[in-house]
Amino acid sequence: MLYCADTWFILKLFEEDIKAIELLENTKYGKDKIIIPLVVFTEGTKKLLQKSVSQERIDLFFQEVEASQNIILVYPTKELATKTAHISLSFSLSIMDAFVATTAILMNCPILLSSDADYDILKKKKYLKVQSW
Amino acid sequence: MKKTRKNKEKTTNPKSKIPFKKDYIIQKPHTLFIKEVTMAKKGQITIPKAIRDEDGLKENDVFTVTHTYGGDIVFTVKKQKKDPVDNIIEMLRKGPRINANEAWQEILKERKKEHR
Repeated sequence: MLYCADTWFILKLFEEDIKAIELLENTKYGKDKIIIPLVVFTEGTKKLLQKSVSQERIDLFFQEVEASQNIILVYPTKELATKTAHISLSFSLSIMDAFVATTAILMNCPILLSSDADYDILKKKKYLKVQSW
Repeated sequence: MKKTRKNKEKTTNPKSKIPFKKDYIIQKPHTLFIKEVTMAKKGQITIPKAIRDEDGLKENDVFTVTHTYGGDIVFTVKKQKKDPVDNIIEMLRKGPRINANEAWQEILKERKKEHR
């Protein structure tokens, strides 16, 4: 199964949430794959630094993410940027929400790991399934 | 009629007093696997997939090659590269935990503020 991670999932990992770690472990055997939009990297780094997580640990985390075959960091493209603007306007989403959702849609990722209620409209329109616990 | 307890010393197996040695435990027997492989240019040999999968061998793993007195060539795994996911989990478990829900609520507020 392919998952798209919002910043919520990154925070859950740094909380050592059992389900989040289990999902991460599943990527090791290729059972699951996780995509992480680059904006999540930015927002996640900012919040983790605010929560006194060292830059060294954050760097190590993303360094290993890049080394992993089944966790993919998605870089923004012109197509992604344009589509994000359209989705933001159409569904009245913040740029951040729209960026994450658009990344998931363009990467054909059916499940978004987030607990943001703003994605409900996309869920209703059946663009995405949103999973949280 | 009352039951009498048997003398413990008589029923104890003397072998059970042998100290427990971890080294004797075979945790998981490996499957015997024999397959012919062909050496390519520059002496490259492919380790069959079944063996790679069973032992979790990956690219960049280091081997020691031993040419024995008997003429056999033995490949021994010297260093297996750790999976990046294992490194992430190890790092997460070492450091202090954050309160994810609190941090997430702050992010949601920031996202809404920027959207206005």
